[in-house]
Amino acid sequence: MRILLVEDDELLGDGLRTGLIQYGYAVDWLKDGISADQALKTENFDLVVLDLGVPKMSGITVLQNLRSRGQTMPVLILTARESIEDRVKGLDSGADDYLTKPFDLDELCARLRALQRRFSSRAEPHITHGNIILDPAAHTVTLNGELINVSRREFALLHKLLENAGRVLSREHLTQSLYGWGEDVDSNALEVHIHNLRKKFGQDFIHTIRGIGYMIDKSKDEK
Amino acid sequence: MIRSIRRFLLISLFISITIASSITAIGNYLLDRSVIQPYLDEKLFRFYNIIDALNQSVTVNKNIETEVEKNLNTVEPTTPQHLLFQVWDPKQKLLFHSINNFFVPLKDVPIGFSDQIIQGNDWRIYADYDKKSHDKIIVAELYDIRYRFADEIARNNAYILLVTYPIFGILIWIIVGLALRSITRVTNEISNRASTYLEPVNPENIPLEIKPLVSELNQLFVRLKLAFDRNKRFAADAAHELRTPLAALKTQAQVAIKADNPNDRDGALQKVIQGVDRSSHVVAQLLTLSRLTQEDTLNDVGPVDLHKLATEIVAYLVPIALEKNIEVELSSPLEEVLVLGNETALGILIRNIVDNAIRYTPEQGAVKIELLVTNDNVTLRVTDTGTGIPVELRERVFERFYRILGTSASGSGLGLAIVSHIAELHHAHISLSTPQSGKGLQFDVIFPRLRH
Repeated sequence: MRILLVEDDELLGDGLRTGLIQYGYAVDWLKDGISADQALKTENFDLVVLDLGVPKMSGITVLQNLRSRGQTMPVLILTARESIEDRVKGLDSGADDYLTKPFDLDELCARLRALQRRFSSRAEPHITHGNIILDPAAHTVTLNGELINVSRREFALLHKLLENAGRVLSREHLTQSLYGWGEDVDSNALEVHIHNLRKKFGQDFIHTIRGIGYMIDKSKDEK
Repeated sequence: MIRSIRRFLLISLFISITIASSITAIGNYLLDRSVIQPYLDEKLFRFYNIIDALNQSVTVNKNIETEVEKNLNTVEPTTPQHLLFQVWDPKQKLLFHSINNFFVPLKDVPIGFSDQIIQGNDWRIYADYDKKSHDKIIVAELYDIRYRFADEIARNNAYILLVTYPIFGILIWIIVGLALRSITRVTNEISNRASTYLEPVNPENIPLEIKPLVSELNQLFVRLKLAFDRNKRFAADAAHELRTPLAALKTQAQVAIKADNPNDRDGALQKVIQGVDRSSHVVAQLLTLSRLTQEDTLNDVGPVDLHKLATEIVAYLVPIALEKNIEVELSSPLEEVLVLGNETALGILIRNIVDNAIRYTPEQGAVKIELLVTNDNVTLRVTDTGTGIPVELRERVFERFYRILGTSASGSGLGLAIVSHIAELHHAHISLSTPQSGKGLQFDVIFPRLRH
């Protein structure tokens, strides 16, 4: 999952970025509203963590622009202000959840997972696909009840594909969702991860759509 | 000092009416005797007339003389013991007299009214000569009886006073109570307030004498309310401004816990320490600002040598500048540059300005501190090669917590608010401009000069 983190405070932003990466997200960190607005127009993000108090363009404006473009990804706002009006304004402008500072990192991630769940219209926290159960909170995946060992990136990739089961995801989209801007991406990295997943879960599990990307079929239970 | 107006009034009034009543009673007692005197003298005179008439009829009729004498000698004394009479003929012979239980010749008493002591008692005497026979007729009345009469009157008076005294007392109590009621009303109004209610007391229906007190009280409330509001705002500012640093601390600490290698953990913990330092700085600045804004005037004012002070402060800050390879220079035209003010506050002012300059100047920059002296003014000028402040923001930078956007520096946002307040307290004027080099910021604080 790729998160856009918009936070102008150095220490807090750095902490959040590191913390979210620890939790398995790919994080891109921007420090002002204009850059954030720009990035949201041109790049794909799965989640946005937005501090309302960023400079150059207010968080509210970024949010409003995002929604008016029809982008529906979940947005969680961070605010230093206690007042109810600010929270109401944030939520009414299109935010899905908010946290006031200082907050607990674990709680932040739990809320992000909840938002993700809602976004994928899943009632259950786990993603079930045939014999595979993926638990985003625990970062585990089981096949027929047996725990399968996967790397961080493999997990993220599998998560992404299962979330979007039945839809083709482009190579670019998948790569972006795994790696932030600052990270060195081997052009083959994605293939390597796909290969590893096929080894662990079955060759037919992930379909290659030539020239476009990859896909996991919709689960038979859902059809 | 009067500890209690009510008690003072009640006690003094009670004492006053007691004294007045006592004076009335005693006065009556003393005066009544003399007032009664003429009335009783007249009565005594009438008694004289009776004896005179008696004497005349005795003189006319010798027989009656014997009768009267016989009667007088044999009859039980019916004349009250407080009255006596004696009749002497011109040859000093006692013709007749009243029967009393004693006899003292009174033939030599003066004519008219007089007072004599007879047998140890005071008597009122009237004596005169009969017109025809020139007999001397003397009548006398015991003073004691007179006194008793007078005393009875005085006593009755006293009884009346005994009745009116408590009535007066109650009236005084009620009247004093009524008068002081308006004070009680104001007291109740204030004591019934919530502890944070600082609106003025209603000045209507307050007596003239208390109005000034209430008016001063209301002014005090206004001042308190301002101070209260200031404190509330400060507390809100502080809470707000510390949220983000605290959030950073918490997040970094949680990152440290989740770190799976010592390097990452150490890195996160270093940042926690950084965050604590920053928060401490914010708190210190907040406290300074709070303390400063509570004063409207300076205490501890004296001549301050800005050159010496600036040298100390800059020396303290140079190591920080050196870490960023920033060159620092201090210059002054005179050894001693005096202004009138508070040394500690001026130290804080200089420190904040120079600290700001260093913070917002990038590596390899320069910060220059100069003192400029004219006849009337002393200017502290701090020039840096940093990013400067755009003209439109030069007003706003002095607002509390305002920080120029886009800088990554970790100030508290309060430094310039503090500087601004200290300058105000010293009647100094601040001016921001672009230095001659065209880059950076020139920060001037212009003080009135202190001469010897």
